Amino acid sequence: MTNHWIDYRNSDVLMNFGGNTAENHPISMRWIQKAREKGAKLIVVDPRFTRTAAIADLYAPIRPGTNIAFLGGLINYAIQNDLYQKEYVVNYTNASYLINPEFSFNDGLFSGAAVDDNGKVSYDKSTWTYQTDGDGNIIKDYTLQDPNCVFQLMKKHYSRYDVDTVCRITGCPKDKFLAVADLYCSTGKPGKAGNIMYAMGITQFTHGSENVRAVAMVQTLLGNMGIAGGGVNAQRGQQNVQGSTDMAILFGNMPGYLGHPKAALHPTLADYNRVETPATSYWSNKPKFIISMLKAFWGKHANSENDFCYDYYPKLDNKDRSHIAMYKYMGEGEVKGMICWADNPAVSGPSASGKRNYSASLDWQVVVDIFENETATFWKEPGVDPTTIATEVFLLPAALHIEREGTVANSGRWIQWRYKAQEPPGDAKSDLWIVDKLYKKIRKAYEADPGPFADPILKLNWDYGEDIDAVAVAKELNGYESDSGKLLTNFTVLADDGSTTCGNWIYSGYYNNDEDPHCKRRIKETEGIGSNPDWSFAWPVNRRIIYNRCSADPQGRPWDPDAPVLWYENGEWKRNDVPDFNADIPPEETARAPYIMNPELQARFFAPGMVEGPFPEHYEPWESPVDNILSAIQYNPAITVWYPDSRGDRQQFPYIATSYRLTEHYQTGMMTRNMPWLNEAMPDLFVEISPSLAAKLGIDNGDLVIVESKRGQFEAPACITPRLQPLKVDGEEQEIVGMFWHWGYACMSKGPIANDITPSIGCANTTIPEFKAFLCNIRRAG
Amino acid sequence: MKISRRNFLWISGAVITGSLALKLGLTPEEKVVSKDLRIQYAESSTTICPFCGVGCGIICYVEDGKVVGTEGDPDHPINEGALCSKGSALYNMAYVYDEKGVPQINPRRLTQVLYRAPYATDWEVKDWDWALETIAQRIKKTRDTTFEKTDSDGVTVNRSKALAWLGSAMCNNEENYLFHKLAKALGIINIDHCARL
Amino acid sequence: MERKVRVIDTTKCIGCRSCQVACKNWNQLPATETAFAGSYENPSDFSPDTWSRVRFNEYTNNGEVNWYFSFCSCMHCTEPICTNICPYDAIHKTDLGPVLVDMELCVGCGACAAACPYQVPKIGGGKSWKCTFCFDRISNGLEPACAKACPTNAISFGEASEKITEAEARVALLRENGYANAQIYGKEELGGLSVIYILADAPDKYGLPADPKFSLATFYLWKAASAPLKALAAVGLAAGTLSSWFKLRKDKVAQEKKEKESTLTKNR
Repeated sequence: MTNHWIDYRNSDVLMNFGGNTAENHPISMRWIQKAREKGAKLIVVDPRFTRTAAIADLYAPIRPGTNIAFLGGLINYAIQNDLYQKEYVVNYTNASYLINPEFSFNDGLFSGAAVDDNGKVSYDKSTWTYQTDGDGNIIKDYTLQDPNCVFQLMKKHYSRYDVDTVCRITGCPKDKFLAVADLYCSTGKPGKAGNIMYAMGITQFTHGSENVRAVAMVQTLLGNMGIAGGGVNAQRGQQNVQGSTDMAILFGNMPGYLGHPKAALHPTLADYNRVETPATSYWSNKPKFIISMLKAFWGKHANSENDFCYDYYPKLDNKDRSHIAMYKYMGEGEVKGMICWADNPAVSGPSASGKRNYSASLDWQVVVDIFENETATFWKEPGVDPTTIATEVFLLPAALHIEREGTVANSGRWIQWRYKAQEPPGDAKSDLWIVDKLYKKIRKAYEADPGPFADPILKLNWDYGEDIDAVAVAKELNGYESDSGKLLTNFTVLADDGSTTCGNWIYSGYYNNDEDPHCKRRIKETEGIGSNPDWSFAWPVNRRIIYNRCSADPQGRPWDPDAPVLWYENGEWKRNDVPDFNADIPPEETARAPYIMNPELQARFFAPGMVEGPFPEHYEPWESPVDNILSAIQYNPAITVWYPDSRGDRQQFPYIATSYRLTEHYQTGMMTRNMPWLNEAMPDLFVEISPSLAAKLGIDNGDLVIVESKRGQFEAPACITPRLQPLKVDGEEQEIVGMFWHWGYACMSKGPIANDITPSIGCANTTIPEFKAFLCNIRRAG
Repeated sequence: MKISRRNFLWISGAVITGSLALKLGLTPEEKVVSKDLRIQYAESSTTICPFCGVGCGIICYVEDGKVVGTEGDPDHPINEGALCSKGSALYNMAYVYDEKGVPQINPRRLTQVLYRAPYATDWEVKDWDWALETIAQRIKKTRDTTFEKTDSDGVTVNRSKALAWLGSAMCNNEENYLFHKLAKALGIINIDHCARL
Repeated sequence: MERKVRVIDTTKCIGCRSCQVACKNWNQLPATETAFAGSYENPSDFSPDTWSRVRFNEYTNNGEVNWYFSFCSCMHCTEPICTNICPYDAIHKTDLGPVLVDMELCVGCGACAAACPYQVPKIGGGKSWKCTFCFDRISNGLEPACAKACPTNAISFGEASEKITEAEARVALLRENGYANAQIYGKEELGGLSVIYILADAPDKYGLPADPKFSLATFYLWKAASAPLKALAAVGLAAGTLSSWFKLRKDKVAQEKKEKESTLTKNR
């Protein structure tokens, strides 16, 4: 989230697009209701009429997998009807930049496309560049009239997304689309705040990253970034998924969003710093971040003579190492041992039944959890013969969050401390205790018998006491002076000479003193715009609204005087938040540099960093019942097709399937299916279909149905409901089958695993699976 | 102030609420439940809800080292005391009420270290020391037999492609940081978690 | 102390059922066994262990879908039939609003359950069970657990006059904003309920009887059925008519309670 939950109260129009906030983030509705009490409107764009839609002001249906068409339609609508915020666009974005005249887009492909033997497109991006003058400065046209400027190229690209075309693709009735466009684009006026909140209904697609880009473009065009009540608000589905991502439980990152070193690009620290450090933007400090992190990892052993032990940090090969890929390598025998810590991929992974088979090829698997889950018991699944499975499984009992200490980061990046309320029962232990003791056992094993290259293990800076204390780890994350151990104020004092130690630069400041650590603060704001700066700590540097220079005009006057984030008055910046810019200089000097993390220092409508194109383009999901009517390219051409044979065809699997969550259960259900009050409220998995599909297939409410895809099938009762309706897509009605995925064969409440039928195909940039749009068939069981 | 459960349920008012007295199997004179709050003598501590990313505050009421109830933290600026059904059910993750309304540790909680040997049809109970030592040996063997110190270009890569790590968004920041740190020390590059799922 | 009410603003309800779970959590009630029964709604009825729940109702109207959620529990009527029909005088209405069952007197005969126009009380283990309006909480200045837990303030709690004025203003606002059928429910019904609804549509769309009545037939049936029991209990009493016997017993119980109260107050 660029903004935060309480800030929702400052919005004029809230659009829940690709999310279901009332069901999956119910407390968000508290702040949405507060905005509505002041006249704000709530729009829901969703394939299903959800509990959010039930109390929205405006609901528009959309076919799963067509978000870019819809959002592109909004971009076009705003530009064609002159509803965008021009002063914002001119000053705060790259709209004025001139692009290489060789750049082009033709029938679904951008310039530089090369197709490999498998049909996958990779791009030579040499034309996706800005025009520069002799001194290397980017050439700009602030009138936005030059045909090669980003604005004109964007206008041309999205002119193809006219209302009729958008409605043909998305299945959204024209009157609904126009109502959404009118209402949402009303936030393009200065002083009006529009908030787009989304979740996995934006990200879980083969074009998920471009969906997010499209959201960001709409928000930037309408001047909704950096302001109170605005923002691109990714609503995080899990308590600490923000934090676990910050800590880089991801193959491509180091903590704090530093790119993971790759052998080919970054053989040495000098190479890493040279290649990865831009000349401009705050990222120009990157060497300070990585060197302080290496100091945290290898402590006194890390010094300038040995590149701060950069060699100890593993280097990536050129392969994808994300979930889908990792399981493929497991099936192929490359991955032999897995540690699965509070994760349940046997239920959450795409094509999950296949993944459970792969688990049987592991030599060993360690599972750490609070309840026995499906991943730990894959050998006990009904129908599986355990006497044929050689895998050793260790199941370690963990503590509940109320039985241990530490912090979690919410969607708004607020890092909050959790206190221990009771001891865990029996032999259950905190995760911190387990990882500490495990490391010590590993170290002991390597001390006894070093094996190859034991130094990264033996020299690891790991001393958190005999009985590990979360505070000791927090201090290392926050950072301290390497010699004295004195806690650092925040990351602005980090150095690239080894004199500072900091595990994760963006967390610096959250635990910077013993007396009153910021993450433990509990002072509620009594007046202001809802920032609550003395309640917990928000990364970075306690900033609550990112890009907040944009909340004021170039002269420093707030676009919205009723909810000013920062405003320049009598020669100084007045503050309702921590500035995301240099507030010691006059506003004119920061007026064209408000996006301090981008090398351009401005927002990007044209983003050459994306794999499949600098502008989001509509492609159909990998499995779709219709042809792409916008171009000859059917699905995102830059994706990796991992299992070509697992793609279902539309004759055999004629219905669109989509998966989702419910209020009453959580993720794989491993926690909530062991909670009787929640099982009582939502006891079984069921499949939602429209009355028209039910009538066509002779299914009555409650009948058992079989839902199948090319990957597998499951059986569940049908729930027939008008909340699902077929959509008219390019003249033909398309039915949608909805299913939630909280069940499995372990736990108190048992049921089928919906992910057995989802495809192992992912986004071209991130490989997040396409859970939200695939093909299935459905029939009555028996 | 500490006071026993029996005492705080003691009659202090004449008005009768149809509540738990009978279920608790109390003696006849205790069958009238007071209008005192059942948590009024409990100590409290704050936590953050373990479900979605809103980050709501929850109060845990604690007596004799055990949580006896949970509810939304009214001082928390985001939820101001409110919770959703999952948050309201938090207590159930730790305890469930039996038919008499008496709390029991959630019967599904893992309270022992379990081990499944190759081809075994059931778990065996083990102790921590054995389990951690054995896991350390398994990790070491897999790492050491598949370890690449350098790649074909001679670059020091310090990795084992045979090890994988998953999780977790359910763990605290400090825990996740140590997961990353340990995984990287071991040379793990297959690392991912539920953020992508 | 003024009578308290809960106001249920269905136009703010998101059907999350926090209220339903918070009720169980506070009142230490175990979960009941349920199964999918064709919609999101579960449990499908009150029970000795389920004192509040949420109804889910779906409608289509000219192609537009309406999905109505409504919290329901004991209405704590101002003129409750259950207090009058109870042969053991185990149920009484408190000044604060709650209608409470005295578990010492209740024998679980089921008269209240049969008479209740909202089918609220449920008999189990020889007693009648239902929402207590979180009497322990509200006696201590707290909101009932359901109101406290509600994310959107769709359930709110307060003094009757103030909350009813607020609810009327909300209904007027809804009407101005296109909810032509917006209405208040519970203000007049059965002498005024302690659960006041703000509805966007007709009461029956939410599973609420438009004109709640208790059945006189049931009332007399129970009175008649309990008569021999009463006659036995009344040995030694100069019983006249049945109704005068009732009055006598009521007075006696009230007197006993008063004495008990004063003793306890002194002891504290």
